[in-house]
Amino acid sequence: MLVLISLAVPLLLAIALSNHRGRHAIPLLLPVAALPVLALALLQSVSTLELPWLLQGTQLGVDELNRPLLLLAALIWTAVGCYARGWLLEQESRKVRFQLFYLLTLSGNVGVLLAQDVVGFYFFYALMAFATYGLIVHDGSPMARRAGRIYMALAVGGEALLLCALWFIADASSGFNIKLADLAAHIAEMPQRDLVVGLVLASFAVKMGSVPLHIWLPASYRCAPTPASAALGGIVIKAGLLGWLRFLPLGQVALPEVGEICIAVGMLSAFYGALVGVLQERPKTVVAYSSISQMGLLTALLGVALTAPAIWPSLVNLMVLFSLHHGIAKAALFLGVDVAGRNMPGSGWLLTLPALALAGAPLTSGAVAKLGFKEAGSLAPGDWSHWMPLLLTLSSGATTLLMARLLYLAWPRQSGRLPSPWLLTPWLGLLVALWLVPWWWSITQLPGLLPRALEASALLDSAGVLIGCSVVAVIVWGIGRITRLRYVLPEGDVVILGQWLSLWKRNMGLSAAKLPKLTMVIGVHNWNVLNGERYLLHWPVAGLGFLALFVVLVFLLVR
Amino acid sequence: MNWQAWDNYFPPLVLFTSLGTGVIIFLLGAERHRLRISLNMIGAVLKLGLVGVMLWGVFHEHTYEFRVLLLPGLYLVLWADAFAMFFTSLSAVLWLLTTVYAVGYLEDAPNNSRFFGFFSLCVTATMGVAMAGNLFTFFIFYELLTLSTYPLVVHRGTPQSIRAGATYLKYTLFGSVLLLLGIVWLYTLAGRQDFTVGGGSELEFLADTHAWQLRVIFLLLIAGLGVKAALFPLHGWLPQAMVAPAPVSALLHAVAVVKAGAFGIVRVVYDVYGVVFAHALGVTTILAVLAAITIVYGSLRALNQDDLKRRLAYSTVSQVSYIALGVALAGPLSTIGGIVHLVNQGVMKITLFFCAGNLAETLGIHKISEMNGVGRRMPWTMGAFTLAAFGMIGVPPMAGFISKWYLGLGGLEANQPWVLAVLLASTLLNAAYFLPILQRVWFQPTPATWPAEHHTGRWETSLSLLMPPVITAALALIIGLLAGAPFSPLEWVKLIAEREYR
Repeated sequence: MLVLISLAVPLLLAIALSNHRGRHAIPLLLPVAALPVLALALLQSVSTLELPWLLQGTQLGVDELNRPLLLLAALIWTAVGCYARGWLLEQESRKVRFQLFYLLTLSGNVGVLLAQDVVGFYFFYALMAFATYGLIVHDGSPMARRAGRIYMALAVGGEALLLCALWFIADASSGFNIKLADLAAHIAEMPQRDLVVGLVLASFAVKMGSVPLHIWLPASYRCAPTPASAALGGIVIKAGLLGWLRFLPLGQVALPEVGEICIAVGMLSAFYGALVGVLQERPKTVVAYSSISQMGLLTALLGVALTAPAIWPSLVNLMVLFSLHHGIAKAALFLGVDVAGRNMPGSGWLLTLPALALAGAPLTSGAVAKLGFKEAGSLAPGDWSHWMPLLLTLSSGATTLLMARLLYLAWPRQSGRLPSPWLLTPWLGLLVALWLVPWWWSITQLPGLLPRALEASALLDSAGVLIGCSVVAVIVWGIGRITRLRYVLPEGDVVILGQWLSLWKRNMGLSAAKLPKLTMVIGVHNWNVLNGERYLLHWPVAGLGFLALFVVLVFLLVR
Repeated sequence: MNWQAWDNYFPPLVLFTSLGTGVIIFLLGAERHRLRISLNMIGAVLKLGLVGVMLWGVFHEHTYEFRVLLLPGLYLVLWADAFAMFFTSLSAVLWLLTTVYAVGYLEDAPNNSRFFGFFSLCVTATMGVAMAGNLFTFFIFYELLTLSTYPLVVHRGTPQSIRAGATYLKYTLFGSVLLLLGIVWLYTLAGRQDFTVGGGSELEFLADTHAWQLRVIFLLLIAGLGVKAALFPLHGWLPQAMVAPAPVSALLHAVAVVKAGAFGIVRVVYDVYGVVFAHALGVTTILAVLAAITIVYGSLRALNQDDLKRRLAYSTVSQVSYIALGVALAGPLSTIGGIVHLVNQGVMKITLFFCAGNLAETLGIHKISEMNGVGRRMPWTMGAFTLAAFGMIGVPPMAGFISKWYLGLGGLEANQPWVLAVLLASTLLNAAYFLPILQRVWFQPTPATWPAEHHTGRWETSLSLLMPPVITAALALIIGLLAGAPFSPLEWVKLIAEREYR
């Protein structure tokens, strides 16, 4: 029953938006829209609700995997709902539209977490993906529309790959619609196991922002309104992780090659996100790039899990710990950047808290999670077992740099007044939760990890990285001060490079004088100057074509 | 006369509800608006009731069969099996809604009695096609359909519509010749047989001696039917015919002409040749490849049409071939996917055309480039359009997802994984030509003025124009969302497939 209420509340609120009288009440109700989910996460025993008439026999329910994520969803959506309420008070237009897409994304997100059957999962995932578009393009600027277009092309491509995987999964079963709980074992025994694993990995990699499928992420997070970005970066992105956890034969079979690819892609994303992120100019974009980087770490850990099925039970708890930590910290960062942008006194220092947590400073949830990662990394296959701990330390360093850059950009420049309680309370609440929830999870689910994280050597380790990198950050900043160099890369890195290439080709011979301007990376900070509109108009088409070609090739190879 | 015999008059009665209406409308004066509307509505509701009763009977394995000897040895047979009832129900429901819509659409237009007369005839013919019990009967109603649709296509009388009508006639009459040739050849070869559910065993005795003749006949039949079903390369008339008034386009694309062709293909494969035998002859593979080409080609052509109805027309070209593809894959699952698409595509496409008509009638919008921000002006219409468009892409929980899901499973079951590639390509292309429209409609700023706005009072447009698309969009949602419920189209199609493969 609680399951149905959790789903029905946001959907009914969304429907109520069509009524003129209902519209006035909804903003007040946004904060409570996710409260049933909180009750669900805390009170509901493990159970499944069967709705045989719905789609192909939908099943919804709570199990041990989605319970902590439901808790995370409830926390973030409630905080973001409060914030959205305050934000809406300041808005003059497009309020109803924002609420509609907000509520639909919320419904889809909760549905993805609750779904216990394959087709149901796909439905809610699609609902979430399409509703997100409305949040991304909310402000209607050309940049937001462009971000939305790239997002849509990749999201639809990802959906198509997932559908393809689902066909294979359903074909190999008798009932056509499998319970997610039985899926891992089922896929492990399928003849087309490797193909399905590949399709699933690629499909959810879009949501997870794995390089090179990350191109939609920075611009989208930056263009969406702050409450939406917080929800997207905090919990919606975790749907991609859940997809991997649900659809991969984890703990069943060892897939060393696939695992190594995941580790490599994950590590690449971790560094790429951090390094490109450091060169950004807008705080929200920096936070977005840190998502790419952090999700890269999760991807690498997934790779370890794929190679070593035996340690899967402890790894899954570790991944959940990291998700809780990252989700809350990321939402707190997005909200904090906005609050600090309002020049609230002391907000810079408060913003430092989640930044420190992400960087893995001692006594933060990040330090616990990263210690767990390092321990797991030493179990990675082959040479990776030596490299992983080192790379993880380095990535903590890179994240520290990224966070230093963020604080530099977001630090309030003047002193202002306190923002409204609608904006302030959820942020402070998230900061408190950041020190409560991940710690609670590691104490109850990962015995031993927390004491090890509190040992002197571990504390010194993480403090050393933090201090070392902070020194580097200060030096780099100092050089920049003296030489007046601006370290800037435009948002959406690869897409921009594509634009430049196409412009370059078009301009060859016509206006050679423009070339130096276009190819110069440092100093270009406004991508409207580039007028890449026409190139991007073709983007969805080109992207779709590429995906289609990809699918065809896979078939040729498999047959 | 016992009750059992009375039962068999149900099929002709269903035909008569619209035939009678049509004849009376022709005899009425043009100015008798009220009476005409009442007649139309009474006919449509009556038919719906009859069809409902027959559905119940067929579900309980009752067969309705009506047989008249026309020429020695040549029977006119009307019967109702599960598949016939499936198509009949679709036509009955959508006819009712289209009648409501047409009344609103053509309110003050001239020549209404001609229009509604032929409209009724067109539906009669569709019903006849649905309930035809042998190829001969099928052909008679198929031709009646061609002829009764022509006046509807050229209804406006503009040079453009006359030209479209001429193209339509050229294509369809050419198709009819092929179809007739195929039927006559088959009759001389194998005798005059009725359709048999799960059958075709009557043809198998010819397999050793006349295999090639049977193959050629199959191709003739498919080519004849393929014209109406808009199989590539016989689809050229369809995008031109979109100059017809919106209710006609809606009916043409969703129920009547295009579907009659697709329905015929299903009949030929399943109930004339028998799917196993057709597969053994190797002819289904050709059909599958043709369907696949049509699916991709239609979507590609739809991509760069700026005229809304033209884009929808190319989308029909692509989507109707889902049905042919499902049938040609020759497996129970693909059969389910193909046949259920008969209804799913019908409900979704009629919604899209209703909405296109609303835009044209209310705001004078014909082109996609004029649709910026129209969602704020006509939220209900465009809401229905959005649902239907997502259905076309095949996003759950819309009806289109159910078709695609079973087609894909059928492709794997038949060991033809290339089908997945075709379906995915079609999905991506559908997204590529529908999503930009939705983006314009909902996310672009509204212009200050519309091309030709009619003020319509309280609602965004007149209620008789607004209700049909809202209802069909809701249907498309419910069909997909409650696919597992008893008496959903999906469950009914499972019944058909079960009987075909019994």
